[in-house]
Amino acid sequence: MTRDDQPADPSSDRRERSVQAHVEGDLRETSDAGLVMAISRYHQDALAEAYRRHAGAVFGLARRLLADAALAEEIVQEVFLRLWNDPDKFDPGRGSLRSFLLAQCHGRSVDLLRSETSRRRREEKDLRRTAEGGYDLEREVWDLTLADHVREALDALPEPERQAIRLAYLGGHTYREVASMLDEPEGTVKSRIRSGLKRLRVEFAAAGVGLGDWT
Amino acid sequence: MNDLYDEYTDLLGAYALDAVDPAEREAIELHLRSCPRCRAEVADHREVASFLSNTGGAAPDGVWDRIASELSPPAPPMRLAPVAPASPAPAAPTTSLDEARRARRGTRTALAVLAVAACIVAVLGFIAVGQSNRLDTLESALRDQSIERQANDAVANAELTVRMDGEAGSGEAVVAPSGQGYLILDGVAAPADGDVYQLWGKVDETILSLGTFGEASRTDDGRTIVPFTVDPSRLDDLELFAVTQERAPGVVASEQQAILAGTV
Repeated sequence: MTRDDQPADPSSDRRERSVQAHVEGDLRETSDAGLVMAISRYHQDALAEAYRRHAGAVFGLARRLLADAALAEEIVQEVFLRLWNDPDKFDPGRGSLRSFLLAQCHGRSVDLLRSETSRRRREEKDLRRTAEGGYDLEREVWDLTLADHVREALDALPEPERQAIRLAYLGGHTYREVASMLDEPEGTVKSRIRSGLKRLRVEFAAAGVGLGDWT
Repeated sequence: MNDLYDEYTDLLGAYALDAVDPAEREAIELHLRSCPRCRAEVADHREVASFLSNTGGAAPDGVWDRIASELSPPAPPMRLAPVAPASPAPAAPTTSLDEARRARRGTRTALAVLAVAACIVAVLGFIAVGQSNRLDTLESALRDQSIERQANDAVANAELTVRMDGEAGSGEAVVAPSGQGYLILDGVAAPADGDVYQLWGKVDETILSLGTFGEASRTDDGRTIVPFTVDPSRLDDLELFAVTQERAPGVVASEQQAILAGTV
Protein backbone atom coordinates (compact mmCIF):
# COMPACT_ATOMS: atom_id res chain seq x y z
CA MET A 1 0.00 0.00 0.00
CA THR A 2 1.39 3.38 -0.83
CA ARG A 3 0.66 6.56 0.98
CA ASP A 4 2.30 8.58 -1.69
CA ASP A 5 1.26 12.17 -1.65
CA GLN A 6 2.13 12.80 -5.29
CA PRO A 7 -0.81 13.29 -7.64
CA ALA A 8 1.03 11.62 -10.53
CA ASP A 9 0.87 8.20 -9.00
CA PRO A 10 2.10 5.61 -11.52
CA SER A 11 -0.08 2.96 -9.91
CA SER A 12 -3.26 4.93 -10.51
CA ASP A 13 -4.08 2.96 -13.66
CA ARG A 14 -3.77 -0.29 -11.82
CA ARG A 15 -5.88 1.01 -9.00
CA GLU A 16 -8.54 2.25 -11.40
CA ARG A 17 -8.67 -1.19 -12.97
CA SER A 18 -8.93 -2.92 -9.64
CA VAL A 19 -11.82 -0.72 -8.58
CA GLN A 20 -13.39 -1.20 -11.97
CA ALA A 21 -13.20 -4.92 -11.51
CA HIS A 22 -15.71 -4.48 -8.71
CA VAL A 23 -18.08 -2.53 -10.83
CA GLU A 24 -20.62 -4.18 -13.04
CA GLY A 25 -21.33 -2.64 -16.40
CA ASP A 26 -24.90 -1.70 -15.49
CA LEU A 27 -23.86 0.28 -12.49
CA ARG A 28 -21.95 2.67 -14.66
CA GLU A 29 -25.28 3.88 -16.03
CA THR A 30 -27.05 4.02 -12.69
CA SER A 31 -27.80 7.37 -11.09
CA ASP A 32 -26.23 8.21 -7.75
CA ALA A 33 -29.62 7.83 -6.09
CA GLY A 34 -29.97 4.39 -7.67
CA LEU A 35 -26.54 3.45 -6.35
CA VAL A 36 -27.53 4.39 -2.83
CA MET A 37 -30.69 2.31 -3.11
CA ALA A 38 -28.56 -0.63 -4.20
CA ILE A 39 -26.17 0.05 -1.32
CA SER A 40 -29.11 -0.08 1.07
CA ARG A 41 -29.66 -3.58 -0.26
CA TYR A 42 -26.07 -4.51 0.49
CA HIS A 43 -24.71 -4.32 -3.03
CA GLN A 44 -21.01 -3.96 -2.60
CA ASP A 45 -20.60 -3.27 -6.30
CA ALA A 46 -22.78 -0.21 -5.96
CA LEU A 47 -20.53 1.09 -3.20
CA ALA A 48 -17.53 0.44 -5.42
CA GLU A 49 -19.12 2.52 -8.15
CA ALA A 50 -19.96 5.34 -5.75
CA TYR A 51 -16.34 5.19 -4.62
CA ARG A 52 -15.10 5.28 -8.20
CA ARG A 53 -17.14 8.40 -8.85
CA HIS A 54 -16.51 10.38 -5.70
CA ALA A 55 -13.60 9.07 -3.64
CA GLY A 56 -11.11 11.30 -5.45
CA ALA A 57 -13.04 14.44 -4.53
CA VAL A 58 -13.49 13.29 -0.95
CA PHE A 59 -9.80 12.54 -0.63
CA GLY A 60 -8.85 15.83 -2.25
CA LEU A 61 -10.95 17.86 0.18
CA ALA A 62 -9.76 15.95 3.24
CA ARG A 63 -6.13 16.29 2.24
CA ARG A 64 -6.58 19.98 1.52
CA LEU A 65 -8.04 20.53 4.97
CA LEU A 66 -5.76 18.25 6.96
CA ALA A 67 -2.57 18.58 4.92
CA ASP A 68 -1.94 14.95 5.74
CA ALA A 69 -2.48 12.18 3.19
CA ALA A 70 -2.66 9.37 5.71
CA LEU A 71 -5.35 11.14 7.75
CA ALA A 72 -7.19 11.97 4.55
CA GLU A 73 -7.23 8.30 3.60
CA GLU A 74 -8.80 7.49 6.93
CA ILE A 75 -11.47 10.09 6.29
CA VAL A 76 -12.24 8.55 2.88
CA GLN A 77 -12.53 5.16 4.48
CA GLU A 78 -14.81 6.49 7.20
CA VAL A 79 -17.05 8.41 4.82
CA PHE A 80 -17.65 5.42 2.54
CA LEU A 81 -18.12 2.95 5.38
CA ARG A 82 -20.65 5.33 6.85
CA LEU A 83 -22.48 5.39 3.54
CA TRP A 84 -22.47 1.60 3.57
CA ASN A 85 -23.69 1.30 7.14
CA ASP A 86 -26.19 4.14 7.04
CA PRO A 87 -27.35 4.73 3.47
CA ASP A 88 -30.64 6.15 4.74
CA LYS A 89 -28.79 9.24 5.91
CA PHE A 90 -28.52 10.30 2.28
CA ASP A 91 -31.70 11.95 1.06
CA PRO A 92 -31.66 12.42 -2.73
CA GLY A 93 -34.30 15.11 -2.31
CA ARG A 94 -31.79 17.24 -0.44
CA GLY A 95 -28.85 17.37 -2.80
CA SER A 96 -26.43 15.26 -4.73
CA LEU A 97 -24.54 12.29 -3.38
CA ARG A 98 -21.31 14.13 -4.04
CA SER A 99 -22.27 17.11 -1.92
CA PHE A 100 -23.51 14.74 0.79
CA LEU A 101 -20.21 12.84 0.85
CA LEU A 102 -18.16 16.04 0.73
CA ALA A 103 -20.21 17.54 3.57
CA GLN A 104 -19.54 14.43 5.65
CA CYS A 105 -15.88 14.59 4.75
CA HIS A 106 -15.68 18.28 5.56
CA GLY A 107 -17.41 17.90 8.93
CA ARG A 108 -15.19 15.03 9.94
CA SER A 109 -12.00 16.71 8.76
CA VAL A 110 -12.87 19.91 10.57
CA ASP A 111 -13.58 17.96 13.75
CA LEU A 112 -10.10 16.51 13.50
CA LEU A 113 -8.57 19.89 12.74
CA ARG A 114 -10.17 21.41 15.78
CA SER A 115 -9.01 18.77 18.15
CA GLU A 116 -6.57 20.35 20.57
CA THR A 117 -3.23 19.09 19.35
CA SER A 118 -3.77 19.68 15.70
CA ARG A 119 -5.22 23.10 16.40
CA ARG A 120 -2.04 24.13 18.12
CA ARG A 121 -0.01 22.80 15.23
CA ARG A 122 -2.14 24.60 12.73
CA GLU A 123 -2.01 27.89 14.53
CA GLU A 124 1.77 27.78 14.35
CA LYS A 125 1.57 27.01 10.68
CA ASP A 126 -0.92 29.85 10.13
CA LEU A 127 1.37 32.27 11.85
CA ARG A 128 4.21 31.21 9.60
CA ARG A 129 2.06 31.51 6.51
CA THR A 130 0.80 34.95 7.51
CA ALA A 131 4.36 36.04 8.12
CA GLU A 132 5.37 34.76 4.71
CA GLY A 133 3.06 37.25 3.09
CA GLY A 134 -0.67 36.91 2.89
CA TYR A 135 -3.02 34.06 3.45
CA ASP A 136 -4.01 33.23 -0.08
CA LEU A 137 -5.61 29.90 0.49
CA GLU A 138 -5.01 27.24 -2.10
CA ARG A 139 -5.15 29.61 -4.98
CA GLU A 140 -3.79 26.96 -7.30
CA VAL A 141 -6.67 24.63 -6.52
CA TRP A 142 -9.20 27.20 -7.45
CA ASP A 143 -7.38 28.19 -10.58
CA LEU A 144 -6.15 24.92 -11.98
CA THR A 145 -8.64 22.26 -11.20
CA LEU A 146 -12.02 23.89 -11.62
CA ALA A 147 -13.79 24.01 -14.88
CA ASP A 148 -13.75 27.36 -16.60
CA HIS A 149 -17.32 28.29 -15.88
CA VAL A 150 -16.95 27.51 -12.21
CA ARG A 151 -13.89 29.70 -12.08
CA GLU A 152 -15.72 32.49 -13.83
CA ALA A 153 -18.45 32.32 -11.25
CA LEU A 154 -15.81 32.52 -8.55
CA ASP A 155 -14.16 35.46 -10.21
CA ALA A 156 -17.48 37.28 -10.25
CA LEU A 157 -17.61 37.08 -6.48
CA PRO A 158 -16.52 40.16 -4.54
CA GLU A 159 -13.10 39.43 -3.04
CA PRO A 160 -14.20 39.80 0.63
CA GLU A 161 -16.87 37.13 0.12
CA ARG A 162 -14.51 34.82 -1.73
CA GLN A 163 -11.90 35.21 0.94
CA ALA A 164 -14.34 34.49 3.78
CA ILE A 165 -15.61 31.36 2.03
CA ARG A 166 -12.08 30.17 1.28
CA LEU A 167 -10.90 30.53 4.82
CA ALA A 168 -14.00 28.86 6.21
CA TYR A 169 -14.39 26.04 3.72
CA LEU A 170 -10.89 25.22 2.53
CA GLY A 171 -9.14 26.49 5.63
CA GLY A 172 -11.53 24.83 8.06
CA HIS A 173 -11.84 27.94 10.22
CA THR A 174 -14.95 29.07 12.07
CA TYR A 175 -16.40 32.39 11.01
CA ARG A 176 -15.17 33.83 14.32
CA GLU A 177 -11.64 32.73 13.52
CA VAL A 178 -11.97 34.16 10.04
CA ALA A 179 -13.17 37.45 11.51
CA SER A 180 -10.19 37.66 13.77
CA MET A 181 -7.77 36.70 10.99
CA LEU A 182 -9.18 39.40 8.72
CA ASP A 183 -9.78 41.86 11.53
CA GLU A 184 -13.40 42.25 10.53
CA PRO A 185 -16.56 42.14 12.69
CA GLU A 186 -17.91 38.61 13.17
CA GLY A 187 -21.35 39.58 11.91
CA THR A 188 -19.86 40.88 8.69
CA VAL A 189 -17.96 37.68 8.02
CA LYS A 190 -20.98 35.54 8.83
CA SER A 191 -23.10 37.51 6.38
CA ARG A 192 -20.42 37.46 3.71
CA ILE A 193 -20.17 33.70 3.79
CA ARG A 194 -23.89 33.36 3.31
CA SER A 195 -24.27 36.04 0.67
CA GLY A 196 -21.22 34.71 -1.17
CA LEU A 197 -22.63 31.20 -1.30
CA LYS A 198 -25.95 32.55 -2.53
CA ARG A 199 -24.25 34.62 -5.17
CA LEU A 200 -22.19 31.65 -6.29
CA ARG A 201 -25.31 29.59 -6.69
CA VAL A 202 -26.84 32.23 -8.93
CA GLU A 203 -23.59 32.52 -10.90
CA PHE A 204 -23.33 28.74 -11.26
CA ALA A 205 -26.89 28.57 -12.51
CA ALA A 206 -26.27 31.38 -15.00
CA ALA A 207 -23.08 29.67 -16.22
CA GLY A 208 -24.93 26.42 -16.64
CA VAL A 209 -23.07 24.54 -13.95
CA GLY A 210 -25.32 21.59 -13.26
CA LEU A 211 -25.72 21.62 -9.54
CA GLY A 212 -26.24 18.10 -8.38
CA ASP A 213 -25.42 16.54 -11.72
CA TRP A 214 -22.38 14.39 -11.18
CA THR A 215 -23.27 11.11 -12.83
CA MET B 1 -39.61 37.01 10.14
CA ASN B 2 -38.64 37.59 13.74
CA ASP B 3 -35.22 38.40 15.16
CA LEU B 4 -34.53 34.87 16.33
CA TYR B 5 -35.31 33.48 12.92
CA ASP B 6 -32.97 36.03 11.34
CA GLU B 7 -30.28 34.99 13.76
CA TYR B 8 -30.56 31.43 12.54
CA THR B 9 -30.76 32.26 8.87
CA ASP B 10 -27.76 34.57 9.17
CA LEU B 11 -25.69 31.61 10.32
CA LEU B 12 -26.81 29.15 7.66
CA GLY B 13 -23.91 29.79 5.30
CA ALA B 14 -21.30 29.40 8.02
CA TYR B 15 -23.14 26.37 9.38
CA ALA B 16 -23.17 24.69 5.97
CA LEU B 17 -19.38 25.11 5.85
CA ASP B 18 -18.91 23.74 9.39
CA ALA B 19 -17.72 27.18 10.40
CA VAL B 20 -19.81 27.68 13.53
CA ASP B 21 -19.10 26.92 17.18
CA PRO B 22 -20.49 23.72 18.72
CA ALA B 23 -23.19 25.61 20.66
CA GLU B 24 -24.31 27.42 17.53
CA ARG B 25 -24.31 24.18 15.60
CA GLU B 26 -26.54 22.57 18.18
CA ALA B 27 -29.00 25.47 18.14
CA ILE B 28 -29.16 25.53 14.34
CA GLU B 29 -29.67 21.79 14.11
CA LEU B 30 -32.56 22.06 16.52
CA HIS B 31 -34.08 24.79 14.38
CA LEU B 32 -33.49 22.85 11.15
CA ARG B 33 -35.58 19.95 12.39
CA SER B 34 -38.68 22.08 12.20
CA CYS B 35 -37.78 24.38 9.31
CA PRO B 36 -37.79 22.84 5.84
CA ARG B 37 -36.96 26.19 4.30
CA CYS B 38 -33.69 26.52 6.21
CA ARG B 39 -32.89 22.85 5.56
CA ALA B 40 -33.24 23.53 1.86
CA GLU B 41 -30.96 26.54 2.11
CA VAL B 42 -28.26 24.53 3.88
CA ALA B 43 -28.51 21.83 1.21
CA ASP B 44 -28.09 24.53 -1.45
CA HIS B 45 -25.01 25.96 0.26
CA ARG B 46 -23.43 22.51 0.54
CA GLU B 47 -24.14 21.83 -3.09
CA VAL B 48 -22.34 25.04 -4.03
CA ALA B 49 -19.46 24.25 -1.68
CA SER B 50 -19.02 20.86 -3.29
CA PHE B 51 -17.63 22.68 -6.33
CA LEU B 52 -15.05 24.59 -4.39
CA SER B 53 -12.49 21.91 -3.73
CA ASN B 54 -10.27 19.90 -6.00
CA THR B 55 -12.56 17.61 -7.93
CA GLY B 56 -9.90 15.81 -9.93
CA GLY B 57 -7.69 12.88 -9.14
CA ALA B 58 -8.41 9.66 -7.38
CA ALA B 59 -7.99 8.39 -3.87
CA PRO B 60 -4.67 6.63 -3.24
CA ASP B 61 -4.12 2.99 -3.89
CA GLY B 62 -5.24 0.62 -1.20
CA VAL B 63 -8.02 2.72 0.31
CA TRP B 64 -10.75 0.84 -1.53
CA ASP B 65 -9.28 -2.50 -0.50
CA ARG B 66 -9.38 -1.45 3.13
CA ILE B 67 -12.99 -0.35 2.77
CA ALA B 68 -13.96 -3.58 0.99
CA SER B 69 -12.39 -5.66 3.71
CA GLU B 70 -14.63 -4.01 6.30
CA LEU B 71 -17.94 -4.36 4.53
CA SER B 72 -20.53 -6.37 6.33
CA PRO B 73 -21.71 -9.52 4.57
CA PRO B 74 -24.67 -9.17 2.22
CA ALA B 75 -27.33 -10.43 4.64
CA PRO B 76 -26.53 -9.64 8.25
CA PRO B 77 -28.53 -11.63 10.79
CA MET B 78 -30.98 -10.27 13.34
CA ARG B 79 -32.36 -7.29 11.61
CA LEU B 80 -35.83 -6.18 12.62
CA ALA B 81 -37.00 -5.87 9.07
CA PRO B 82 -34.61 -7.80 6.91
CA VAL B 83 -33.82 -6.77 3.41
CA ALA B 84 -34.47 -9.16 0.56
CA PRO B 85 -31.23 -10.85 -0.47
CA ALA B 86 -29.26 -8.98 -3.04
CA SER B 87 -28.57 -11.92 -5.29
CA PRO B 88 -31.24 -14.39 -6.35
CA ALA B 89 -31.60 -17.03 -3.66
CA PRO B 90 -33.65 -20.19 -3.99
CA ALA B 91 -37.03 -19.81 -2.33
CA ALA B 92 -37.46 -21.86 0.80
CA PRO B 93 -38.99 -25.26 0.02
CA THR B 94 -42.71 -25.19 0.62
CA THR B 95 -43.97 -27.95 2.82
CA SER B 96 -47.55 -29.10 2.84
CA LEU B 97 -47.96 -27.59 6.29
CA ASP B 98 -46.77 -24.31 4.97
CA GLU B 99 -49.19 -24.57 2.15
CA ALA B 100 -52.08 -25.22 4.49
CA ARG B 101 -51.08 -22.31 6.67
CA ARG B 102 -50.74 -19.98 3.77
CA ALA B 103 -53.96 -21.15 2.17
CA ARG B 104 -55.86 -20.14 5.30
CA ARG B 105 -54.68 -16.62 5.13
CA GLY B 106 -54.86 -16.56 1.38
CA THR B 107 -56.91 -13.97 -0.34
CA ARG B 108 -59.53 -14.00 -2.98
CA THR B 109 -57.86 -11.03 -4.55
CA ALA B 110 -57.19 -12.09 -8.05
CA LEU B 111 -53.50 -11.65 -8.39
CA ALA B 112 -52.34 -14.71 -10.14
CA VAL B 113 -49.69 -12.56 -11.72
CA LEU B 114 -47.69 -12.77 -8.57
CA ALA B 115 -47.53 -16.52 -8.79
CA VAL B 116 -45.42 -16.32 -11.89
CA ALA B 117 -42.03 -17.62 -11.02
CA ALA B 118 -40.50 -15.54 -13.75
CA CYS B 119 -40.97 -12.37 -11.78
CA ILE B 120 -37.89 -10.27 -12.03
CA VAL B 121 -36.61 -8.37 -9.12
CA ALA B 122 -35.05 -5.14 -10.10
CA VAL B 123 -31.86 -5.06 -8.21
CA LEU B 124 -31.21 -1.62 -9.51
CA GLY B 125 -32.64 0.96 -11.73
CA PHE B 126 -36.32 1.46 -12.15
CA ILE B 127 -37.62 0.73 -8.75
CA ALA B 128 -35.81 -0.18 -5.65
CA VAL B 129 -36.09 -0.13 -1.96
CA GLY B 130 -35.35 2.87 0.15
CA GLN B 131 -36.44 1.47 3.42
CA SER B 132 -35.48 2.04 6.97
CA ASN B 133 -34.64 -1.58 7.33
CA ARG B 134 -30.99 -1.19 8.12
CA LEU B 135 -31.52 0.56 11.39
CA ASP B 136 -31.28 -0.92 14.77
CA THR B 137 -34.10 -0.82 17.28
CA LEU B 138 -33.33 2.57 18.73
CA GLU B 139 -32.82 4.37 15.48
CA SER B 140 -35.91 2.73 14.13
CA ALA B 141 -37.96 4.01 17.05
CA LEU B 142 -36.59 7.51 16.64
CA ARG B 143 -37.21 7.43 12.96
CA ASP B 144 -40.81 6.31 13.24
CA GLN B 145 -41.97 9.75 14.23
CA SER B 146 -40.32 11.36 11.28
CA ILE B 147 -41.63 8.66 8.95
CA GLU B 148 -45.13 9.37 10.19
CA ARG B 149 -44.64 13.03 9.48
CA GLN B 150 -43.18 12.38 6.07
CA ALA B 151 -45.95 9.94 5.24
CA ASN B 152 -48.56 12.53 6.21
CA ASP B 153 -46.83 15.07 3.99
CA ALA B 154 -46.79 12.56 1.16
CA VAL B 155 -50.52 11.95 1.55
CA ALA B 156 -51.12 15.68 1.27
CA ASN B 157 -48.99 16.03 -1.86
CA ALA B 158 -49.51 12.66 -3.48
CA GLU B 159 -49.06 12.30 -7.21
CA LEU B 160 -50.55 8.85 -7.01
CA THR B 161 -52.84 7.31 -4.41
CA VAL B 162 -53.75 3.64 -4.60
CA ARG B 163 -56.33 2.04 -2.34
CA MET B 164 -55.08 -1.27 -0.97
CA ASP B 165 -57.49 -3.98 0.19
CA GLY B 166 -57.29 -7.61 1.16
CA GLU B 167 -57.86 -10.01 3.97
CA ALA B 168 -54.89 -8.74 5.91
CA GLY B 169 -56.38 -5.26 6.29
CA SER B 170 -56.63 -2.13 4.25
CA GLY B 171 -54.81 1.07 3.57
CA GLU B 172 -53.26 3.00 0.74
CA ALA B 173 -50.05 3.47 -1.15
CA VAL B 174 -49.17 7.08 -1.87
CA VAL B 175 -46.36 8.28 -4.09
CA ALA B 176 -45.07 11.86 -4.17
CA PRO B 177 -43.91 13.40 -7.47
CA SER B 178 -40.32 12.80 -6.33
CA GLY B 179 -40.96 9.04 -6.44
CA GLN B 180 -40.89 8.73 -2.66
CA GLY B 181 -43.76 6.49 -1.68
CA TYR B 182 -45.37 5.28 1.52
CA LEU B 183 -47.50 2.27 2.15
CA ILE B 184 -49.85 3.14 4.99
CA LEU B 185 -51.86 0.27 6.39
CA ASP B 186 -54.45 -0.05 9.13
CA GLY B 187 -55.00 -3.09 11.25
CA VAL B 188 -52.33 -5.30 9.75
CA ALA B 189 -51.14 -7.90 12.24
CA ALA B 190 -47.47 -8.67 12.68
CA PRO B 191 -46.25 -11.32 10.26
CA ALA B 192 -45.98 -14.88 11.57
CA ASP B 193 -42.73 -15.83 13.27
CA GLY B 194 -39.97 -16.13 10.73
CA ASP B 195 -42.01 -14.37 8.04
CA VAL B 196 -41.92 -10.90 6.58
CA TYR B 197 -44.30 -8.95 4.43
CA GLN B 198 -43.02 -8.06 1.01
CA LEU B 199 -44.25 -5.16 -1.08
CA TRP B 200 -44.37 -5.51 -4.87
CA GLY B 201 -45.03 -3.08 -7.68
CA LYS B 202 -45.91 -3.89 -11.26
CA VAL B 203 -44.44 -1.68 -13.95
CA ASP B 204 -45.35 -2.61 -17.50
CA GLU B 205 -45.09 -6.38 -17.38
CA THR B 206 -42.47 -6.55 -14.69
CA ILE B 207 -43.10 -7.22 -11.03
CA LEU B 208 -40.52 -5.63 -8.80
CA SER B 209 -39.81 -6.04 -5.14
CA LEU B 210 -40.13 -2.74 -3.31
CA GLY B 211 -38.86 -4.14 -0.06
CA THR B 212 -39.83 -6.11 2.99
CA PHE B 213 -41.33 -5.00 6.27
CA GLY B 214 -42.61 -6.38 9.53
CA GLU B 215 -43.30 -5.52 13.11
CA ALA B 216 -40.71 -2.73 13.08
CA SER B 217 -42.79 -0.72 10.63
CA ARG B 218 -45.74 -0.44 13.00
CA THR B 219 -46.32 2.94 14.57
CA ASP B 220 -47.69 3.70 18.00
CA ASP B 221 -51.18 4.27 16.70
CA GLY B 222 -51.31 0.77 15.23
CA ARG B 223 -50.72 1.78 11.64
CA THR B 224 -47.99 0.28 9.52
CA ILE B 225 -45.95 2.76 7.49
CA VAL B 226 -43.46 1.54 4.95
CA PRO B 227 -41.37 3.95 2.87
CA PHE B 228 -40.38 2.91 -0.62
CA THR B 229 -38.98 4.55 -3.71
CA VAL B 230 -40.17 4.50 -7.29
CA ASP B 231 -38.41 5.98 -10.27
CA PRO B 232 -40.45 9.18 -10.74
CA SER B 233 -40.18 8.90 -14.53
CA ARG B 234 -41.97 5.57 -14.40
CA LEU B 235 -44.92 6.66 -12.27
CA ASP B 236 -47.24 6.58 -15.25
CA ASP B 237 -46.32 2.97 -15.95
CA LEU B 238 -47.20 1.70 -12.50
CA GLU B 239 -50.08 -0.75 -12.68
CA LEU B 240 -50.48 -2.23 -9.23
CA PHE B 241 -49.11 -2.65 -5.75
CA ALA B 242 -49.41 -5.89 -3.82
CA VAL B 243 -48.23 -7.32 -0.52
CA THR B 244 -47.37 -10.97 0.10
CA GLN B 245 -46.21 -12.81 3.17
CA GLU B 246 -42.88 -14.57 2.72
CA ARG B 247 -40.31 -16.40 4.74
CA ALA B 248 -37.66 -13.99 6.06
CA PRO B 249 -35.65 -12.39 4.62
CA GLY B 250 -37.98 -12.23 1.61
CA VAL B 251 -37.90 -13.77 -1.82
CA VAL B 252 -36.79 -12.87 -5.29
CA ALA B 253 -40.01 -14.09 -6.92
CA SER B 254 -43.16 -14.68 -4.97
CA GLU B 255 -45.25 -17.81 -5.24
CA GLN B 256 -47.75 -16.55 -2.70
CA GLN B 257 -51.09 -14.95 -3.28
CA ALA B 258 -51.36 -11.31 -2.34
CA ILE B 259 -52.77 -10.54 1.08
CA LEU B 260 -53.29 -6.94 0.01
CA ALA B 261 -53.46 -5.38 -3.40
CA GLY B 262 -54.54 -2.30 -5.23
CA THR B 263 -54.57 -1.40 -8.90
CA VAL B 264 -53.62 2.04 -10.11
